[in-house]
Amino acid sequence: MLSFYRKHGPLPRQPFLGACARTAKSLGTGRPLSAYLADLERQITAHHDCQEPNEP
Amino acid sequence: MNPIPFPFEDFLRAQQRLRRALLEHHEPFVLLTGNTGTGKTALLRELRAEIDRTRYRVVYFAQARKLGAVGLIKVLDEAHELPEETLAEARAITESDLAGTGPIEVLLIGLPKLRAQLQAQPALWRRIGVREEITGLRLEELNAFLAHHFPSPQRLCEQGLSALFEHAKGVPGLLLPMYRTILEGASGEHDPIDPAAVEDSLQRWDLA
Repeated sequence: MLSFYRKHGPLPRQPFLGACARTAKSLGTGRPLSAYLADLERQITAHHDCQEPNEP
Repeated sequence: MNPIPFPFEDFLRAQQRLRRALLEHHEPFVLLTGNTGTGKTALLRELRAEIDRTRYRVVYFAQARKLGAVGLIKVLDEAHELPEETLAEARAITESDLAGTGPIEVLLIGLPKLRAQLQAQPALWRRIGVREEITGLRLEELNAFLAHHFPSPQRLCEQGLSALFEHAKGVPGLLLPMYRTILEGASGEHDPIDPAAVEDSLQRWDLA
């Protein structure tokens, strides 16, 4: 958890809660913590990629 | 250890969707991702055994660089290692079908990062009709999984099981050797194993 927060935090509350809801919906319950964090990380990376268009 | 793969929820769902996509809907592109040890290759073996050999021919490429052979179902394993040209070539093969009968289907298999690699090629990504990912076991499936592979009575308490599950990230290919290590490090043959001994074995595993 700490390394995840160090790498990605601090995160804005509402978008982060939205990302958590999407992760919960796609993975369901009973998964290891690392699986939930990997899914959140994937969403954060995808979001950053959308915001930083490639330079020509 | 049981040679038959344990039928956990993710595995069965992926197997069912891939079977339908390849054998009923004849999707030109199908994607299966999952971390190492989640059961992608085991699933592939199961699918291959189900395929009617008189109707289909499976051509399997592990870390392929060139797709020279002709086949009906092409399986590209370790696809995250493939160069972009090979993926473009795979796309060209499935599209070189003027009759529209869809004689060639491509199953791409790789680590989760393959998704991002394919998303970077929008023309190819759009053509992938079925995208499946195997995450691993759920905690509630762990007892049945261990009983499937180790017929002797369960020796871990709830806390020990939970520690094992988190350490192995629910990945079957990690759960098995970790559980074996715990059993080998435990005293006695049938006594319950203390959660502290479980943590100790798992920490030793991490250090090794």
